Amino acid sequence: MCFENLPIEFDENGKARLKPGVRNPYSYATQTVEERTAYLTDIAKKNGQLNDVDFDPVTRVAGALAFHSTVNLKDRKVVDTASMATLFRGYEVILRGRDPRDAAFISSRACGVCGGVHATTAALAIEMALDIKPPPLGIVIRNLLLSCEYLYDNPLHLFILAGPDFSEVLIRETNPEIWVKAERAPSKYAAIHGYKSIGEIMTDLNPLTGRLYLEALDMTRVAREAYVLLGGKYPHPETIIPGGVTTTITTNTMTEFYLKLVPFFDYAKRCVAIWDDIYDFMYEANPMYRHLGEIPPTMVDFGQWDHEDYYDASYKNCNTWGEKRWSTPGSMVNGKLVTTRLTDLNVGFEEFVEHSYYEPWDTIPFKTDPNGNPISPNHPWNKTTIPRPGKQNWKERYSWSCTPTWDRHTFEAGAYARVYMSALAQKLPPSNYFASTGKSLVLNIAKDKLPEMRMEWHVPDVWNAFERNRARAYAVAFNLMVTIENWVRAQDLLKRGEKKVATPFEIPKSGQHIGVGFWGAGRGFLGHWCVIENGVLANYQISTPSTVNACPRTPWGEPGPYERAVLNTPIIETNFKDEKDFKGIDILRALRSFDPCMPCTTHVMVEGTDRVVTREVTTCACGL
Amino acid sequence: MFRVALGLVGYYQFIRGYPLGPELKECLDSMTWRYPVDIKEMNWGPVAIVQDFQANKISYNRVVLIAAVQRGRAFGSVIPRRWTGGKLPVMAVQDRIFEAVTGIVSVDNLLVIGAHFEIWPDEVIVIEVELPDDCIGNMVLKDLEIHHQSGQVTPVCDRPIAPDIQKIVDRIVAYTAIAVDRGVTGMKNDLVPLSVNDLNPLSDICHNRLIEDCHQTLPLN
Repeated sequence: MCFENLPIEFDENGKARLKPGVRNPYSYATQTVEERTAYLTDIAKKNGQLNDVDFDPVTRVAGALAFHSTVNLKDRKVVDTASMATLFRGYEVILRGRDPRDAAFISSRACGVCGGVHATTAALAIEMALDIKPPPLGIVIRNLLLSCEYLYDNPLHLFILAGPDFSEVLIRETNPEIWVKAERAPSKYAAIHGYKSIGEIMTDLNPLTGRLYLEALDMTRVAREAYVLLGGKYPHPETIIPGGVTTTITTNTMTEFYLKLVPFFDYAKRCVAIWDDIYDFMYEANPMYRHLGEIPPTMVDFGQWDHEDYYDASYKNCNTWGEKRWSTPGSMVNGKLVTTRLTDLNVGFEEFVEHSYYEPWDTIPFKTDPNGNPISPNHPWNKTTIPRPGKQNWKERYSWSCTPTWDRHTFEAGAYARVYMSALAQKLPPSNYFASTGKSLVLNIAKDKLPEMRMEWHVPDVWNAFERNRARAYAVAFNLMVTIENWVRAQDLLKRGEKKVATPFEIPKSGQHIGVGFWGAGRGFLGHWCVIENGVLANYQISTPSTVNACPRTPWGEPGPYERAVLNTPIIETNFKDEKDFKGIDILRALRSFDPCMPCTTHVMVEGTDRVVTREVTTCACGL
Repeated sequence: MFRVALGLVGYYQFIRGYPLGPELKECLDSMTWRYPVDIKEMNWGPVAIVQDFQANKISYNRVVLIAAVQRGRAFGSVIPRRWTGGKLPVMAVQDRIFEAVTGIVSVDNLLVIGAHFEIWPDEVIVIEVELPDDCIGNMVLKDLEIHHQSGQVTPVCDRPIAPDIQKIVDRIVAYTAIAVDRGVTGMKNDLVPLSVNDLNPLSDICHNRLIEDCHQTLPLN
């Protein structure tokens, strides 16, 4: 029984059904404007020295994410938060009425960083809707392409986006007392990364000049080169289609691809060692860091990397092929894994717009999924995107992001979720390179200059900003070893004479077909839901990791993950006199631990509101 | 051999009708040039473009960028500028890298980051095209409103960006032809300098008014 809040139970065959006797099974209470006002007024009354601190933009992405915190500097506490996506995306309405084959190409433009994952997720959704099963080699090549995106994306976050927050420059500026300790602190893993002290690591994390910073930029280039070998082009690959890929694969291609992977063997080991050292040191330097961005681990991940022996694109069998993925799907609530079935993840998923610039919808075309399991009126297959820009109001509507929930919980998405979920579930297919123990994820990383190493990510006893980043570092190694597993499988298929990489298909000119792409991005959870009617897309919905993490409050007043994480963040920064020189580094660390990437959430500017945006994100490039 | 790179910064090839990109690229593809010219889609992050330059190991003698900008000029303005560069503090460059690696397309970021990683030749000309604030979000919303009123359901983003789009394309092409073939020498009188001091500051993207709104709702004093 995985649902606690939605009135859903299961019969003896595991099929979901609504509990009998529940009159309005999907109704929910809403926190009224008056209740929210009373809450804020109460905060203001209790705290005479409130300072509003604006951390905007958090990712410096076109102002697409604005995060408002009310901070009591005297007590070093954050007392109120609101996360807002300031730009409208619009892909859902752009795709409506188009040929289903356009979905992969257009949705790829959802992000200039991770366009390939959107293309793949779209391809999966169309495959499911139209019953197209890709050939084994097509499935494996798609896995390898995904891996390259992650090999690009996760090191990028660790060293280019989050890394500077732990660099000598920033630490000296915000917490000089910690820098003094860092200079003297010996590292534990010098044999792997070569740094004798924590201070040396921090120096090489310095932006633009640090060796680790520059090395990460270089490694992201190598990952992209690997992608291009198989995918032809990146970002926005045009080789990913429903039914497989359109690339020609030979043993030579695979050899070249492997050569690109080799430098990552040692790099993955060093990523783990460096971030283990940094975070272990930070806890020792100040135990309060254990509370930085701390929230109970509630996450959803669809898993990814399909097993070619099981994936058949069907919704009917998705629980079987889902649990055979090379990272396990799952939902975890407060640290407890409650399901690994994709149908449960789909059935429990809803999106709310009470605090977003969208109108509610009144057409509910689907009461059940294709297997007969009940779905909510707020499920993406039932959702209609009706944008309605308006003036921002923290108490009512304040974001272009909607609020996704699973079983009425807001949840986290991230690279760490696939590590966490795979570790707990013990359902990974047998592999020489990785294994799940129920409490940890074991990784056997091949030798290059460093010897072969067994590294193990353990479920942490606290879930906070540092543990998100630490798990992301292990995700680099996990991803690499999944890549090697699939590379070996591709070689085996080629040896057996398999050459086919795509299955041809026709778009049916009539009838209704629905599908969902259960997949992931470098930043975690990614889903595309499509409804095809009479040969065109009648509805298309995208839910991205940044939408999940940056969402505004639920209608019943539960804050989104960013909002909750920052609410729990203590102000540990020391080197400031007042709000004028307060950097807010702890709040930024908490937010950046989610790897915020707002092009995923929001894409385009909207006039008619009180916002001024002078720059554009990827898709706005269409202006030219 | 003298070689020129011609980059379209902000060209989107799949949604026809709205963008100038496809029409513009068709024009550029059909032109003949004095020197070998690589026409590059630069519709992705500047770091990726830097890496593309580095990976290809091609040294260009001249780079011409055609870019959508918002400098506050009239819609349809087409201004050729010469990139003169300048020094920025490390953290100012890092701020632009923060944007770049998370998906922003911005010629300003591209120029700064490209300069930092030394991919530019001495001669970089930017054909700046001032487009209306109307970017795709507005267009989508307008289309939806039209559909709402008429009851039609057709794909959005099929209408042209503006009726005089061809005139804008003609102006861009005319400047580009001179910039590519004759460079700085050929357009000396037209070129407006573009340095780091002329770029749109990143601070413009802050939304402080939102905070003021919030102040008004909170009886803080």
